[in-house]
Order: sequence, then C-alpha cells, then structure tokens
Amino acid sequence: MADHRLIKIDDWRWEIPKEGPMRVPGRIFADERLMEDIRNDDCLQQVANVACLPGVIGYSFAMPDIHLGYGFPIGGVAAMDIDKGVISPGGVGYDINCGVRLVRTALEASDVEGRIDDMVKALFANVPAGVGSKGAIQKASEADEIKILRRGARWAVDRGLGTAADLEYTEENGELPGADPNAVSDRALKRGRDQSGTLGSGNHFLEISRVTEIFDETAARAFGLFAGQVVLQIHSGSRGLGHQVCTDYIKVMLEAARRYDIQIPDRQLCAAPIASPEGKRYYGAMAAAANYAWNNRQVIMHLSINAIERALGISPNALDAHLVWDVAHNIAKFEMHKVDGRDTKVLVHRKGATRAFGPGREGLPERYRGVGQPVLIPGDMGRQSFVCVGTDKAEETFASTCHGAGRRLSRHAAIDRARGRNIVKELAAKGIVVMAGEKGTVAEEMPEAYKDVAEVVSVMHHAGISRQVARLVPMGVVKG
Amino acid sequence: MAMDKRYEELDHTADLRLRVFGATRKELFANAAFALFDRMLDLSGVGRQVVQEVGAAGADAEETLVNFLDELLYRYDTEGFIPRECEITRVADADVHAVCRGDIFDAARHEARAHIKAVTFHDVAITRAGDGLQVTLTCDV
Repeated sequence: MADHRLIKIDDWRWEIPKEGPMRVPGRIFADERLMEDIRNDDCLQQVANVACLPGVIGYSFAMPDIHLGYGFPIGGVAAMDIDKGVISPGGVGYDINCGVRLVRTALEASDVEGRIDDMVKALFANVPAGVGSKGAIQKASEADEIKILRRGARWAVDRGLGTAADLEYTEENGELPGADPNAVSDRALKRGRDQSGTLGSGNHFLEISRVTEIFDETAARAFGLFAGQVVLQIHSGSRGLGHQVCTDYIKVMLEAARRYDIQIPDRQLCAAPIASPEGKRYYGAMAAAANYAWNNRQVIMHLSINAIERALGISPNALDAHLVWDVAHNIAKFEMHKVDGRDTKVLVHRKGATRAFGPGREGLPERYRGVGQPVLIPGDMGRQSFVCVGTDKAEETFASTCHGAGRRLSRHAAIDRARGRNIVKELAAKGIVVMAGEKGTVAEEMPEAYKDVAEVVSVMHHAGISRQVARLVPMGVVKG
Repeated sequence: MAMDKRYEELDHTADLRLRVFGATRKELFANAAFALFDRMLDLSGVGRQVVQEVGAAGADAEETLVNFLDELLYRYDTEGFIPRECEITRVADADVHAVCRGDIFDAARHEARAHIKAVTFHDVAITRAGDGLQVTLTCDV
C-alpha cells in the first residue's frame, strides 16, 4: 500500500493529509495505543480511498474501532454534497442497517439469579438463529414483505408485535423515508421472505446484561437506566434481503461508475451521483432494506420479551420491558448538518458507525431532547458494552461515533486459538451462559478475538463526541 | 501442474479472505466454489445426489467469477443447495457454465460454520501464479 503520512492533531485525533487524488484529508479518532494496531492494517489506505470520492465534504472519517473492510473501512464515515456527491453501496455494506437495540426491564440482577440458563434457553428456542433459520412468526406473504420494505418496524407494531412507543424510540422511527420496494429485485425479495424475525449468524447476538455502572446520572435517568438493572441487547440486520440488495447494486454501480466516469481506487467503492437514476434507485432499495432490518429487530424484540416472560413465569407488567433505543450501524441517510456554518442537507454514509445526535436535535423523542441520543456500543460477549450519549460537539463528525469493539484477531486466528479449549465452558466459569446457532461461531467470536470496547468508547468520550452513560456486563448470550 | 492445495485462508481481521488456486481457469472457478462452501460447512458429510446447472455472466473474468459465486450463495440461502463439487463445463471472460453436485441443507445432518453473506469485489484480480492461476476473494461474514 502507499505509505500515507499521518499527523497527530491531539491526543484523540490524527490526520492523513490530502495527497494525490484525495479530495479531502482523512481524520482518524484514536489514542496512541489503538493507533499502533491501526497502523499495521491497510485500513488507513481505505480512509484515503474514500477521500477520493466526488462530493465528499470535510474529511473522510474513521472511528477508533476502524479496521480493514472492503471499499470503505469498517468504522468509516463520509458525508456527501447532495448535488455534486455520490452514493456508494460500499459505504453501507452488505448487511444494510445492521444495528443494535437496547431493551430495559424493571428487573434487577438479583431477581434473575439462577435463572439465566432458563432465560437463554428460552431466547434460543424462541428466536431462530444460525444458517437457514426461518422466521418464528407466520411467514410473510409477498404483499406483507412489500409493506415491511415501505413501513419498516411499523408493520410489526401494526400486527401487535410491539407498541407505538417502540417506534418513537427507534432511529428514524424504524421507517426510513424514500424506500422503494420496486427497486428491490425479486432475488432479494426471495432471500428475505422467510427470514423476518431471525437473528442470522456471525457476529449477531442477543445478550442479557446487567447495568454495573452509571457514569452520567442525568442521561441514565432519561434513558430509564439504573445500576443493577437487567437489560437486553439485540444485534441483527437485514439478513439475506440486504445482502442481495448490496450485491445487485454493486453490479449496477460498477457500470454507472464507468458511465459517469467516476475514478475509483477500488471496485468495491463503485458509486453513482446521488441525483442520477442509478443513485436514486440504490437509495430507494437501500432504504427498503433498512426498513426490513428495523422490522426484523422489532419482531426479535417481541419474541425475546415473550420468551423471557415465559422463562421467568412473570407478567408483562412485572417485566415492564421498554425499548431504550435502536441504532443503525450500516446506512446512508439524508441529514441536516452544519457545513461552513450553514444548515445543509447532506448524505451521510456510516459503515460501521453510529449516529450520535446531541441535545435539541430534531428527530429525537421528547424524553431525550434535553440530553441527546442514546448511543449503543456493544462489546464482546465476555467483557462489557456501553451506553453513551451524543453531544453538540458530534457535529464535527456529522454526528457519528464508534459502533463496537472491532476485531483484533482474524476468524482464522481465533479458531486456531480456541483449538483444544471449550469457550462456552470458559465463559460459564465467568458466570456467562452462551448458546449458539452454529458450532464454529463461538470460537470465531470469542472475547479475545475483539479489542476491549472500553478503549474505543474512551477515545470518543475524551474527544467529546459521545459521552459515557452506563456500563453493561453480559450474563447470558445467544449467538447466531 | 496439479495443485495439491485448492485454497488457503489468509489473515483478515473483519472478514474472510481466501486465496484460491487453479491450474486452469476452469479449475480456479471450481476451487473458488469449493473454498466458499468448505469454509461454511463440513463438506465431508455432504452427498452428491442433487445436481444443478449454474450459469453466470460479467463484464470481465473477475466479475464473472464473483457473480458465479453469488449465484451459488443465493441458491444456498433460498433453496439450501450445497454444491459439494462444481464441474465447470465452459468458462470465458464474460460467462461461465457449471454442473454442480451436492445436497440440500439439513440441520440434522450438516454442520454449518459462520455464514458468508457475500463475496466482495474488493481488490479481486485473477493473476498468474507459477504455472497456474490464483485469485484472492474477500468475503463478508
């Protein structure tokens, strides 16, 4: 790879100066320790590549959990000028609107002592996970699938699989405007039809956690979080439908990039002007896939809450489960941001990054207006996760922050390390119950395969982009 | 030259990177299909009784390869078809045709590992390696 110069701006910020075909500099958030890992990876070249895309505004950003992706780095953020800029499926990824939701309950850790095993078994039985899993809800008809693509999580809520409040506490209300089911291919529809309400495989999971520490009382109160509380995290995406939408439009965009003479340093960065027919169609299909994912997490949440109530033999009132928030990690969205001091509509690509709106932003529910948007940062299954909150200062990154721990080991290396060990037993010894849909997943996803999410979260906290609110520690995990 | 190694797994932190070998282009395409499914499943327990013809096209050899693999992933996702072996009957820059023998996925009989969501176009290039060919595939897991 070309060796890019890297300039340290302050303890948390680094810059790749604009060189050659780059239209803007790169800006990476990291401390010295994390930068050691990042330097050893080709991901900085990917930051520079994104900086070459037409219409990119300000910087090609990378969050501290950056690692090597394809096209965009994972942890990459780029905002585009809507007139001169491009939209790229490589800036969103295959798992469109892969994301996380956090559900709070009225239970305390002491209420579920000795019951985690039952809860995990019930979640595993109730939420289909792993390869080839089919939905637990009645199979969606073709007409239903089109409605899901248009209306997102509202489809589930209209069928009693949730409440209106769930929509209020989901980014974009679980329904991204501009979704165009006609832009979604039959192949994508077919891949998605059986999979509503399924977790998927790989890094997707359900986690029962307890809140062990509150860093920001005011924000925690607004989010309904308290120390000792039992909460549930759900990590899933748009399943085969989203993968197929990306696959389909990579092909469209390879051609479009040639037609519009867009110079791309990597085929996976293929793109078309936002305002072009190809750009508009991709946006419509991508929004439809995003809606599919929000509906999926809504259905999974409903199945999970039912499973926990049954496992514990308690009423919905006693569990008192409410959605705290639902974030998208892989998405491109039209948002209002300050550009040269003026409110400007831009298209923000977030590929493995989380929106982090500060206080007072439109699009936040009343309850969070005063404090800012909850930012959910899951860690590995053995250590911890964080709830943070967006700040005014997040405008620096078009209101974007990190999204997770980021892998330290390749899957291959993780499997090697796990050979001869029983990771499920090791976690059980730490008091964490794990069940997985696929045998190989636990080894590939073992805690030491990931960086400690605390390091990543701490960088964005100190940089002032997203402030720490609460620490969550795992008690029970279902892996896809 | 007969290659004893059909593919190898390279270190890639987030995704899966597979370097595939083949003495000829036909063998390279067949080995790429094998690599993908060998990584997703324990193929030793998979039969050969289901036969499917698979075709794909693309603007160049690399696009044709990625599109061919995408077609196999699509069939696996929608029908559960596991191609244990693909015989490439015809391959050119712009299209490929294969006869694939395998089985339909059954959780009771088949052991699945992490699922591959897609084969990406990231840095994909078919190059000469010794007497044969190789290609590196970056897969989203």
